[in-house]
Amino acid sequence: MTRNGETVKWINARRRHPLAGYAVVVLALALLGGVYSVVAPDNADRAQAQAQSADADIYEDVDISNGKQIFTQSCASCHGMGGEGTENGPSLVGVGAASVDFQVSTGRMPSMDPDVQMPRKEPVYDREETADLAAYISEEFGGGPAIPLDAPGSEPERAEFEDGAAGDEAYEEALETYEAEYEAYVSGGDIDAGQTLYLTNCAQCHSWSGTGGALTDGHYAPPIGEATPRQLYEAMLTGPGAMPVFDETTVTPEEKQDIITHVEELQMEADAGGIFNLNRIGQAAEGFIAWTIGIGLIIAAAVWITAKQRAHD
Amino acid sequence: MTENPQAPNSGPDPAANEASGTGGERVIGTPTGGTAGPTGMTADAPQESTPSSAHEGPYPPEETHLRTEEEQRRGERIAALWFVIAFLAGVGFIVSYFLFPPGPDGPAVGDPSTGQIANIAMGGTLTVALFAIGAGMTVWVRRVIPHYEVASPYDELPSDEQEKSSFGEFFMRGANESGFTRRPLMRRTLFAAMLPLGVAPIVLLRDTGPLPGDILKQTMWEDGMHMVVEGTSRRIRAEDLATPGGMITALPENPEDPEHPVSLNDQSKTVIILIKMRPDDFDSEMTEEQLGWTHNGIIAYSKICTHVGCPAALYEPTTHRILCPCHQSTFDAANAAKVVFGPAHRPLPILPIRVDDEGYLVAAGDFSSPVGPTFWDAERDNYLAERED
Repeated sequence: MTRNGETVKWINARRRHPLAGYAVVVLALALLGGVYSVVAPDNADRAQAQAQSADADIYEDVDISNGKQIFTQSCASCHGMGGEGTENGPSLVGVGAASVDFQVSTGRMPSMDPDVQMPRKEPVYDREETADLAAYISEEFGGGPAIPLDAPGSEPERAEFEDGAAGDEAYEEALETYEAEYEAYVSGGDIDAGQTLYLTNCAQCHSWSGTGGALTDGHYAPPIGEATPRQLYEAMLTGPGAMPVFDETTVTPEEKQDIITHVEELQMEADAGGIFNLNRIGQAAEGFIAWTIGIGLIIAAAVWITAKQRAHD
Repeated sequence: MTENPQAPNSGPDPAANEASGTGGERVIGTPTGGTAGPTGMTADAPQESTPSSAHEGPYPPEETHLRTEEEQRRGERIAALWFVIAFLAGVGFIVSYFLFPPGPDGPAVGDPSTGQIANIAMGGTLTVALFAIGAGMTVWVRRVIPHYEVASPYDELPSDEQEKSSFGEFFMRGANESGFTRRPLMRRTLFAAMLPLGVAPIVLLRDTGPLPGDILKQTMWEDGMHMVVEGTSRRIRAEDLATPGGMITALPENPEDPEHPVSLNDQSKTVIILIKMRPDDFDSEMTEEQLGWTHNGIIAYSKICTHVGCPAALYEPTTHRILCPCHQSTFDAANAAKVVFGPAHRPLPILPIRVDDEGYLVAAGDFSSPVGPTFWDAERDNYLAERED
């Protein structure tokens, strides 16, 4: 109480000080910046490598009955028992395994709210369950592109393996295989060709740096900084949401690999903005912000230098 | 209020001055009454600039003030603090310059992760150093240097009458003796000699022409020209765009050198987006002619926005909208790119397409309207055609 009283007195004694106004502005700006840095999305873990591995075996012996069970539990309520779609969800007839794998492995499906665009989140189902579900849907409702197994998917998770030392070993081995496969795939692409294709066909929505951007009606093109090569491939192949399709005939598998190589390189690249990074919104916008802040500071300095001295100074 | 002992008495309303000059704010060390200025003050200047005569300038009397020794010493300390900060930041700048020496692979700052730290270290210290020097000097001016008005009368500017008339006579005598006033032939031919040179700058404006003619309305697209995926030299077949909702950016194949793209100038005018949709998705408002420009649900639009020329290629298959990212102009791809939102005021030009004997997509002519930002007579042909109807 006493301490509070003293604080109030301290503030009261100084609130008419000539610098009080500046002090308030500086404090307010600092507060704003502090709040922003806490609230703003954290990009720190963007660059970590993700994705899956020598997982062909997962897709070879799929358990279709398990897939059916998952479908009945989590999908049928919106997409209908026969996959024909309801007013809450589109038809799954002919979508194919790649589309299912994309939607489920990026955590967009199953969705809790069918009315809003689903952001990327932790997947609900692990790799085996996703494979089972994709196999069931493509078998039952037919059609659509298959999962592009050449492009590495998600990284193996420790939880997928048994506990104990044997599990540890198996996990390490799977991780190593995965990383080798990832390296081989990404180093196989022509990054220059990929950049040209990315800039002409992808950058208009996902931005040159892959941070995404706004579309119409409140929709948005999502950031692709965490997408695995396989998810990128599936997105081009199936055109999820409002995204156009890039057929294997218009953008060949080799060109898709080029694009993926470029995107994975973008993911690895450090943001040269350092602690002042602006989420790579683009050179013109960043320059404009720097200019505005710079001119603001210069005006503040000019006001201070030329301010009339008041008598009680 | 002020340390000048006379100042309180000099204002038009001493009572008001006293009222605003709260005694409580008087700093320790300021003089208490009508005694002479404190030590360290220049005694003469205030005497001249005080009371009755000196306050006709912009500064009211209460703003004319000197500094007490105490105040000056405090100002000196603050300014010195700024200068010390500037010194340390300057040293820091030199240190941070040497902190990032070039490695075996070239300069360390070439690496973005090192560069961002180096930039902040060097830029930050330099900023602080320069700012602190300026701040110290400002404190110096505001806290140490005395502040009062000095009047210094101007010299009389106009020359006196006698000087004026003697110059006038001298000037006229020179003019007469030179023959300028008395020899009209010479004078007039001199004027004639200057005339063409005076007109020349106006004549040279001709070089801003000639008018561009049809250049702005034409591109290199012509009937039978193949299209390739931008970034490759691969010709596109109609069945390559297999899936409705598909899209690809395309350019004309270089007629002289199919392995390489057309010139950048031509690319910027000819670039198109090929969009595949179900043929029955096309809006019923589209004319027969416009539908004739499509092939089996494939339609080719210019990628250059008709507003200010940004690449407008954010195609949403779900709504068939094409959005331009610069100013949110939105076009309806299913209705001949009619503008549905935003500052653009004419649709994206359509490139008529057909399929040649080998199944490749080819242009069936040039764009339906001029490509790119609208210019003065972009729509003149349409306007004339409408008037004829």
